[in-house]
Amino acid sequence: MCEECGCGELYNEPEKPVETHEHHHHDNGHDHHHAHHDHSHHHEHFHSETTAKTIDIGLSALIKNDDYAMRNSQFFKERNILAINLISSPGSGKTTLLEQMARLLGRSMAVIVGDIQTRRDAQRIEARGCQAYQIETNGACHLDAHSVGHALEKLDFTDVKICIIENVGNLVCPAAYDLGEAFKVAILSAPEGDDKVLKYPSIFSRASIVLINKMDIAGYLDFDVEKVKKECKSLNDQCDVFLIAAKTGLGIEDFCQFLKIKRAQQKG
Amino acid sequence: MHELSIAEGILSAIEQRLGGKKILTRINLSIGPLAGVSAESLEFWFNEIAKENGFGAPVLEIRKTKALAVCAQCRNNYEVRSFYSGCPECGTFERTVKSGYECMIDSVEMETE
Repeated sequence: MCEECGCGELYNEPEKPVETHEHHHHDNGHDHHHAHHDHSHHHEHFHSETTAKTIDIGLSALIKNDDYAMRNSQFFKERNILAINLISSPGSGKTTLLEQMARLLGRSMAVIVGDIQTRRDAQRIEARGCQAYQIETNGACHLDAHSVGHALEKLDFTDVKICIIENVGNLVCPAAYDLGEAFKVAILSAPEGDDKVLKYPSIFSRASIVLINKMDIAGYLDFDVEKVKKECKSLNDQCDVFLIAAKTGLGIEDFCQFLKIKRAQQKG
Repeated sequence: MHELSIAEGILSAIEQRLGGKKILTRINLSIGPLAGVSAESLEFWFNEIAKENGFGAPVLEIRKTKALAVCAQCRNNYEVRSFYSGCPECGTFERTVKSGYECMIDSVEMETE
């Protein structure tokens, strides 16, 4: 059963081996302070026979997300689907890019799209003849692997080769959550400015591909492409940078071709 | 903002490992500088949710770990002091990061009779 909602077709609660090592140390007569926001209170404990017990945990704080992510990753691998986690600021052109990709990839692409609210993005992508499922996070600033796992149950993956997970528009929080993707793709659009790579290092250091979008208007802006490329490489020297204009279609075919190659490599 | 869901993740991982909710006195975490987690923000959210979720009011002890890397050029082992500083020996940015992305729950403490 899925622990969150009990719906559980896809999700069985991951089994964790419980190996706890316990250390006992007597710690009688201690006192400590807790500070809580605007006030603090002071307790003193003088228990005669209390024992403090330490239990090793040794788990990532995101272990639960990571467990679900592993299952999503398994889902994609079993079906030979290349899954991408697409992350960028609001308004940088994620959905416009996907509209263009839908034109080229059609039913072989499926999209899971996250937004705080509205189905607008899913509707735009569906209108281009591609399957899309909208996750409305109702306030959450990022997608997590659990909600993506449920979204996977809603789509028909029979003919799908590439699944794009369009994250909530945000350069900070989505970077920390593995969704089970093969790799992360970040978009930086020219109007956002060429100084953003180092300002948001958590995403640009983890993205395998950076798409510099809105190159059709970059000439009107003080946007230094070489600086962005250099700074991307300084955070992650394995990173590939593509120049695109989602509105005009510039560079989209090359990017789709690149994804097809990546999928073939994943298969091998 | 995502520190709230990390705080929830910590409690749920502990609950899973302990086989239920327990009144805790201390939680020992280690957080790397590349994890993208603000210790102050995490502490704030943690204090908000620990008690109401039945874990008592444990002290959140956060140990800040170092980010370590090996230079791809000169094989120098060094501490990554920022995302955009290269190898202190040769200046190159190409490296394999060994640690620094972690946000680990090391252990918890509780009182027993």
